[in-house]
Amino acid sequence: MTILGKRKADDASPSCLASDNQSEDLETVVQDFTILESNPFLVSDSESDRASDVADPPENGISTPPPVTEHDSSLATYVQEAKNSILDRISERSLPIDLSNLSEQYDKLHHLLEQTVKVGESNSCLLIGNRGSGKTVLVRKVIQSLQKEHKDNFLTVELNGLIQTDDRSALREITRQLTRESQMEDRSFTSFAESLAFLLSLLKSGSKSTTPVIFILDEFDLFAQHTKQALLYNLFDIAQSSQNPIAVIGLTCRLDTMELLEKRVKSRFSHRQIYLYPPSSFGDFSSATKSVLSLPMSDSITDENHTTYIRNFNEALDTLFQDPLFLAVIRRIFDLTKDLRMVFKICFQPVSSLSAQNPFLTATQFYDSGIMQRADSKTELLKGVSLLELILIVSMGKLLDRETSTFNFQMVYDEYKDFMNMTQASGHSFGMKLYKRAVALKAFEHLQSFELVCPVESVAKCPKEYRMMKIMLEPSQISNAVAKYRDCPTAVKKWGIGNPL
Amino acid sequence: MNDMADHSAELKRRFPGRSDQIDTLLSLMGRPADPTVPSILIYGHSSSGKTSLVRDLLSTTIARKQWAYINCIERHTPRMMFEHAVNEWCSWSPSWDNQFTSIARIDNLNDFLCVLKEGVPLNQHSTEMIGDKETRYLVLDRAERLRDMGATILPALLRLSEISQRNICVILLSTIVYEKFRTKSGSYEPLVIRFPEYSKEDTLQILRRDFSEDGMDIEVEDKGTVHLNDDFFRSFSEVIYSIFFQNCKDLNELRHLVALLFPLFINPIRDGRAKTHETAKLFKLAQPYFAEATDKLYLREISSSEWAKRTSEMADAKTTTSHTVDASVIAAIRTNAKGDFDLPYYTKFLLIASYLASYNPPRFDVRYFAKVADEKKKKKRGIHKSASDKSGGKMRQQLLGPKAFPVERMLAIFYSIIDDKLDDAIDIPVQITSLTTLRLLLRTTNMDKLDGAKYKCNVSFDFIRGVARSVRFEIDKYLFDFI
Ligand SMILES: Nc1ncnc2c1ncn2[C@@H]1O[C@H](COP(=O)(O)OP(=O)(O)OP(=O)(O)O)[C@@H](O)[C@H]1O
Ligand SMILES: Nc1ncnc2c1ncn2[C@@H]1O[C@H](COP(=O)(O)OP(=O)(O)OP(=O)(O)O)[C@@H](O)[C@H]1O
Ligand SMILES: [Mg+2]
Ligand SMILES: [Mg+2]
Repeated sequence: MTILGKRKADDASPSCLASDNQSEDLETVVQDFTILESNPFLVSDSESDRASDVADPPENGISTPPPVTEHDSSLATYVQEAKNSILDRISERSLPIDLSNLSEQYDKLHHLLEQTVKVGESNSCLLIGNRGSGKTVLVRKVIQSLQKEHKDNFLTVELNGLIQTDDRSALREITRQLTRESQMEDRSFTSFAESLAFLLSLLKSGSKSTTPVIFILDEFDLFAQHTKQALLYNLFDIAQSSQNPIAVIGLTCRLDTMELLEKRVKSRFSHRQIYLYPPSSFGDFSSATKSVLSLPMSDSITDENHTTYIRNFNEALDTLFQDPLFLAVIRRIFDLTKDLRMVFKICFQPVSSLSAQNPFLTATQFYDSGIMQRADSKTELLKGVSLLELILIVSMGKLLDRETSTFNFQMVYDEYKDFMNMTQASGHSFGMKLYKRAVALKAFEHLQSFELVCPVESVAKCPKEYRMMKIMLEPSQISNAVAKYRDCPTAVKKWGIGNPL
Repeated sequence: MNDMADHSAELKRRFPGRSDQIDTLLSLMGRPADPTVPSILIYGHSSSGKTSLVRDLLSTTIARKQWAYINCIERHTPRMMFEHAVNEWCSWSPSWDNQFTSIARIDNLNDFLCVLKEGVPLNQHSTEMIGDKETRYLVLDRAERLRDMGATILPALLRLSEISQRNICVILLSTIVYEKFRTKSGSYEPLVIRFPEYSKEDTLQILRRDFSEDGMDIEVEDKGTVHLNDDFFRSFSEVIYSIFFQNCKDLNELRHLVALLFPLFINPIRDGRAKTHETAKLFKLAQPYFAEATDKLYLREISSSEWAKRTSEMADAKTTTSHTVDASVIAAIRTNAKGDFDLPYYTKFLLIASYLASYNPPRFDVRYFAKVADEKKKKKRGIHKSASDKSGGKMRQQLLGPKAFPVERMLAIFYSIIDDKLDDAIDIPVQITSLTTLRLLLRTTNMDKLDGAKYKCNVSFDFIRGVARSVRFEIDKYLFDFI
């Protein structure tokens, strides 16, 4: 408990997060949120801190490490069960238990689709939201509940813009899914519209009306790239003219999707859009995280030991969500992206290493996997380059400083030569020698193979030594790499981090 | 569970320095039917054990047909890739008996997904369902190539299990960091596992694995055999490491050097010049080879088989005294300098002229090449550098590379640097064409444009210096601002 108390004290003293090289994707660079002194994402000297955690698990307040020996085998099965059910959720195989912050959107979509299924009203709608904001989950939930309420009175066709990259394959997939579900025959047609119409006409069940079909188009924006947007045109046309009751639901993360539609397609679209937002407050975010990691207590479980385990597991989870360092990890993800998937990423390792010996989630595992997933991968990669390669990178950094943002190998080598002459003259070379041009060129090409250095033009028009390149690193990443390099000679360190000697 | 522990211990023994990664991977895989992470990216430097470890790990822990391994350079189209994956998942190999066909024809992602959802019919009675119970693995080596296969392949593979609703785990192996895989519209991001660089200790331990644990016996002239133990090899690899680690950390390169240099290193023991324990003496004797190896072997200026052949030839010819053996081996290695290639006399001048035209600013042509100008005026680097060089000399033509020049200018230089009158029999356009065919000159303008053709000289300074020397032309004197 003492350690916890100490951390709380740390928590109170706000400190700015030092620059820590977010990867390129994160546009939102958070400037001034306060975070713990020992930020678990930084591969820093918090090791000692962590070590004490490992040594002292009861600190987490788990009162009863459950009976070990005699129930070992049954405990193992409980743990395995728990592990699988959580893994199912974080690998997105099963649906989340609740979608609390999306209830409004859920109701809208549910109502819309119910109209189609019940009354036979055609509809079209676009779901727009960032990656991981719950579009797929929302649709699946709604369909699931409709299936429960209305049995098999409707069909669904799921298409994905990543897979059905042209209308021909889309049509084949539609045929496959519809024929599988209602046992129809394959037939070939000349025109797209004709074959789609035929497919749908076959859905007439008996005499009264045709079966409603719900079309779900994931990565909707990609369908707009198909020639003439024929699929979209036909689907929206059917939806508008109500030949058959269909609903067309598009899922996309592009806000400008409407602009991608051709005029004749756009005019047939209902313009109904539902926006999805990620959890807006940290409270929602962490409770969503928590609900993913918790085990449901169901009445069907009668075994005393099992219920005890589930209770203990959830208690351990409560403790986990009070651990300030763990919360800082989650907080950081929330501040940067609000993406639940990022949280899932760091949960994989701790969850998959649950075992009978280690049946509860503890905070330490999360720090480690958090560090691993968030470390700046370029700086990490640079730790493993050879000294010569590192010096070449610093040379490129020096060229950058002189606003020479594109350069060729000759210029880099010249810079390197100057540096070596300088250090040798001042007697600081410490066994570093000037490598021949050819050796340095090999090192340079090695860097190229990691795409840390990339050619400016795609086709080579001159000998490779002269090919213009640019470096894909920020100056701060370069000095960071030098600072972190193992056994870096002082001369290089000085040159790479500070000003030239 | 015990089985798992055995596997893990065995793998850790086989792969020193990778125990964390092995633990991580094994726990992520879990038991065969456990849910797994949809996709994993393993990245690390070349020869950091990505390919060998992952393959070893999968083949020791799960059945062969549960995983497919694809090298994206070998199988560079979606069709080759997907068909091979499905073949492996169905234990099918194209052979004479099946007319070298794949088990299912898969042209694109849509077909692939279709196969995943419907299964592969093996015969009338049975269908192979993929990933309905136990997780199937799809290992894609050199995954950076996937980016060239079409915009949707990579994002689709990253979320293959979501799209196909099957238990499939995609493992990407690459030397490239994930940022380079990202697309504008984003995608499901894989779990990233880094294979870090090896420490010196790890490297030595891996190098030592090439050497049998019980040591080895070598025959020594007149004295039967001598036993070389593990420590002997260790100290040898340590030296190799300390010589090369500054410019090369690649394990494969180091192993290659070790394998080729070791026989030379122990030669003195064989012919009785040194004893096993006299390591210092051995190093001294081997020193010249090590120096030579840095250039020749590391840069692949001679192939390893050539190296092996020459060194063994020399060692076999034991007629001479030992010292001259070493010297002659090195000489033999050295002779294979630049692949000599000879050009006609005037063609060499054409090449020199084009080099000068590529690297000298045209405004100085008159000073350098005007025939009328007095010899005296041509001083070495007699022309002052332009004062407005902000970048500290970093923008010299020497560094920027060759500039394109019009043929006429090159010809003017050519006529001024040849001493005597040109033989009529020499067809200059033909010579230019042949230089272009040899890629010594590069044509920068279109072929169909006959007038005003421009060229670039495509040879290095060392090369042109060699050419100039062979015709006794002092090229240094004619180059502006070269260091
Ligand atoms: N509001 C939420 N409540 C609980 N879990 C959520 C919520 N939103 C998203 N998730 C979780 O995030 C995961 C990703 O959601 P989903 O697959 O629906 O994203 P998406 O919007 O379809 O993303 P993409 O554009 O990449 O397809 C889901 O597995 C789900 O568990
Ligand atoms: N930790 C290790 N222990 C034993 N051998 C290793 C280890 N790491 C690498 N090797 C050996 O080094 C060689 C190269 O490894 P491998 O081909 O797996 O590297 P890689 O990471 O796939 O490289 P590349 O990116 O070039 O494909 C292999 O022969 C392998 O056996
Ligand atoms: Mg989705
Ligand atoms: Mg490999």
